[in-house]
Amino acid sequence: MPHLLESRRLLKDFGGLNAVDHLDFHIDEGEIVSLIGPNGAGKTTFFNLITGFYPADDGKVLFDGHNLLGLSPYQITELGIARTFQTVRLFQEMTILENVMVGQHCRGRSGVLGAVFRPPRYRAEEARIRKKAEEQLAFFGSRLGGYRLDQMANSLSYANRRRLEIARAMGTEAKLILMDEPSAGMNPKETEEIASLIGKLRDERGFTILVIEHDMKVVKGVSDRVVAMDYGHKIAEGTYENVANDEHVIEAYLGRKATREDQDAS
Amino acid sequence: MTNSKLKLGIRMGAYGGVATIYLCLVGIIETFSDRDIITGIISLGHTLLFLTALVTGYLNMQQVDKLINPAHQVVEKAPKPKDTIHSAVAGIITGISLVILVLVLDRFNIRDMLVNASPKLFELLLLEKGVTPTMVSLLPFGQGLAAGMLRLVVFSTVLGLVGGTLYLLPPTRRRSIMLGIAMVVLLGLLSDLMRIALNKPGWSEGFYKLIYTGRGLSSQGAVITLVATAAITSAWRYIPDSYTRVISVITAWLPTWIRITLASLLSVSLLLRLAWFLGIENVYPPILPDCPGLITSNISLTNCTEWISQGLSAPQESTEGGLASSAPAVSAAITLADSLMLLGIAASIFLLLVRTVQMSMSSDIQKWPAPPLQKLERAQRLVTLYLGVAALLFIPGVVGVYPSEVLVMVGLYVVMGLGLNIVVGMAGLLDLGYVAFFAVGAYSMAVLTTVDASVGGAQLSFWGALPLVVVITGIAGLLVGAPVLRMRGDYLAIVTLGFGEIARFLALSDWFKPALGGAQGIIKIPDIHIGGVEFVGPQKLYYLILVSCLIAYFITARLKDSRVGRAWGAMREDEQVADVMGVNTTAYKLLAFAMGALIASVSGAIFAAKLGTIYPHSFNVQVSITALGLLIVGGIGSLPGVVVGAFALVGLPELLREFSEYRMLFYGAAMVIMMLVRPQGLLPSARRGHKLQGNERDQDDWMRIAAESEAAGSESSG
Ligand SMILES: Nc1ncnc2c1ncn2[C@@H]1O[C@H](COP(=O)(O)OP(=O)(O)OP(=O)(O)O)[C@@H](O)[C@H]1O
Ligand SMILES: [Mg+2]
Repeated sequence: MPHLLESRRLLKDFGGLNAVDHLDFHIDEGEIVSLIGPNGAGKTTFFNLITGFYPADDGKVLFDGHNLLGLSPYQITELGIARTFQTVRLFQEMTILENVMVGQHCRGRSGVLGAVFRPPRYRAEEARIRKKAEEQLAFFGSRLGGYRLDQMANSLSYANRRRLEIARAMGTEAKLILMDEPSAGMNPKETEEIASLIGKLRDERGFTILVIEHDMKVVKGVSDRVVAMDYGHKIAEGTYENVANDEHVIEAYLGRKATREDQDAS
Repeated sequence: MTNSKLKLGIRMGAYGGVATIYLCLVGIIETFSDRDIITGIISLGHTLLFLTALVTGYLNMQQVDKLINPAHQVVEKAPKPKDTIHSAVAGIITGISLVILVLVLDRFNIRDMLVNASPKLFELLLLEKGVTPTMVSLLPFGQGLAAGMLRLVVFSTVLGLVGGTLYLLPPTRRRSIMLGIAMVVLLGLLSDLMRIALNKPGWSEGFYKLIYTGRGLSSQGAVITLVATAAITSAWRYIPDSYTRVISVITAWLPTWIRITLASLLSVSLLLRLAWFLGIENVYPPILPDCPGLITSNISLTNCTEWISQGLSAPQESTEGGLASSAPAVSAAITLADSLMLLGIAASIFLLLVRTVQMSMSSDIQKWPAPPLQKLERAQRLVTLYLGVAALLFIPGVVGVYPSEVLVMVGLYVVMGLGLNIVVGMAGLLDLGYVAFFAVGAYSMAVLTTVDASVGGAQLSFWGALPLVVVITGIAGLLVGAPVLRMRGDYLAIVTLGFGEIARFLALSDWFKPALGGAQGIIKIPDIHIGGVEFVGPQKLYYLILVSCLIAYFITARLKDSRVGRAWGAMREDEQVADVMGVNTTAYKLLAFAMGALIASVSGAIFAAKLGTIYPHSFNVQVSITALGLLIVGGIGSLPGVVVGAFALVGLPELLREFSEYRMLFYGAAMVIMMLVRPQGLLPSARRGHKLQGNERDQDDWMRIAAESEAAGSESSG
């Protein structure tokens, strides 16, 4: 069976620095894969390539039988990939509900005429969008639900902003969700919650999940498979135990400083 | 502490002094002194002069408050009455600054450099002109320079003191006094308008005479205004409640058939009036039927029957302002409907009064009507809507020709503002060349309809051309949108600014002269008519503009709350993320430009038909600036804000034409003050208001949580 997402020899060259260097990667339907690696390893850049944020310089990205390279971000989202951001990027001055409803945008059709004249078809679509959005938010219990639906996104606490980003990604009805450090900036309890949430997303909602994570407890808890990156390369792959004990990985994390300086010098 | 307060007072006084000297030397004080606020008592110029001292005192006290209550202090300390002394100091300093100006004016001739430093200004500053002698005789220091300067200082000091005291009053009382003063100034300013609107035979004349005299308020009028405003503002919080109560009583106690009859009578009367005005006569029928009995208020049955029979027995001699005789049936019908309606209203009020008295006698609270909430809300909405529509339909007839002209201008800008609001407020694309679309709308309407053989030739009617105009301008919107797709913020603003100018230069150019008429523009654009009704003159155009405003408002309101509006909102907030969330930002940018353009085109088309002639010079950058300015003043993104902004930035200046020299100055000042005091605009859309209130606290939380979890994170990893 073909992989859900697959990258072949994917290359991103930032003026001499290969942030993603001929990377081969794949994830199958229903999997939770963690992407780890020291700072600057190229993890976020890899996400940006998949989602069309940056154009790739070489290689291929295949998703569900489509080649993604050359597509615009919105087209990629329509095909079924959604993401969250390392630094939270919500639509600040829109309500919580509206944020998630924007996620539903690509599943709707209605335009200006529909909005102005509001025929039954428009109303039905709008009701569906709203219902779906509320469903996603209900997944987070009272944190984002209820009276909060009509509050501005910027009134949320930091952890809830991260949750809302996930809800918004869920709102696109994606098959694959890419999460960029979902537990960054959270306290240990919140981090634990995020870990169980990732599991639930797959088990209850059927999402395939690729997550960049620095917190090794989370990585250990959620991953079916772990991929480690450094300097844009894949340096290890396998179960958590395999990767955590891999000498390249240990070296990458510990010997980072020295090698970085070497590279800078050269 | 006292020391720093003193320093503060001196500094604020210096600011106030600089402000007043600026006002003097710019020439505002002098120009404005020809206009009375309260006839014979104080001119607008001196009002401004005195207000500056008052505001200085007030702001000084505000600063003192800030000084003794540093941020985040839990227990708030109130400034004490004795602190007003510092406001007085501020007043003194302001006064002394003016005295220095007076001395300079006296000793040196600075008129070569500062043309407004005139002898008249000198006299005004010494309070020898522009204020009543009584006010001067309050401080009888005699005549001459020294006495005048002394008076100036004393007045400033007292005003500073008053300003400081004002700040110390409890907020509700302070607000009502300040609104009262503002109302006096406003009504004084609008005296010309009021004369046109009210000073004509009928019920309004008495009202006018009560408040106004000469070119300003009368002294009793000023007192009445002050007291009434203060009273109304203090009672304001009860008003919505009593409004609800009145409606609930009406819905509960008046039989449905009476309510329906009354509403239909009002509608019939209104519609007949409209038909009369638009189709039969150019004179607007008077507001209330010309029944002498009403004014002398001896309403009796015989009187009423007399009016009715008078109305029915029309044609009568055509009295000026009364119902003319050319359509006896309609005039009779109007009188009949009005009379019946008045009778009905009188009867219902009587009925309600009787019930009220009965109720209060029985003192059984339970029996007071409390209709189900839903029904009540519906009734309230209906009544509000009905009254609103009735008022909107009546306005041009009530206010007369010139104010209607002003309303037409305001309406044109409301339509434009609503269109621009899509581009700037909803989609977040800062467009400084919006006039281009207004121009394209006007020019395409002109070319398509003009009967001047040298240009155009299509000679369509307004309505035949309108769809084409909208399509053409929509395409122009796409053409402007396409090249700027990749631009954001400042770059976009500059480039669109360029487009606005290009549009004007194209119209001016020799190249397009055969089609667009060059600098001479296009003439002989026919009037708009529907059937037999010609929309000439501001009072009739008003209705057309009103309808376009309502349609534009409806469209933008619906767009705002829709899939399209959300996509625009996402784009405004973060374009890249919007794209990643599935919004085709290219398409939605173009859509925003096109929608904005086609709404502006309607405004332009009416503008062209209204003037009958258009020149390139009507479409300069100031139109764009005003359109953007009214969004800012009203609150970007807020639809009611557009209306308020248009009244503030277009309506007010139109009414104060004699000061048009200073228009740009006031725009600038309004913008700066707006940005400092109320950046979210006068009527902010809910979301902006929210942001500005809650954001900082969030930021704190955010930081705290981030710091904590980082600490926790380093512990666990270490
Ligand atoms: N837009 C850009 N232009 C130039 N260089 C970039 C750009 N984005 C990323 N880089 C560089 O590419 C490398 C990989 O960055 P990336 O953000 O992908 O790392 P990361 O693995 O996500 O690190 P972190 O764990 O800190 O998020 C870094 O050296 C970074 O400086
Ligand atoms: Mg990263």
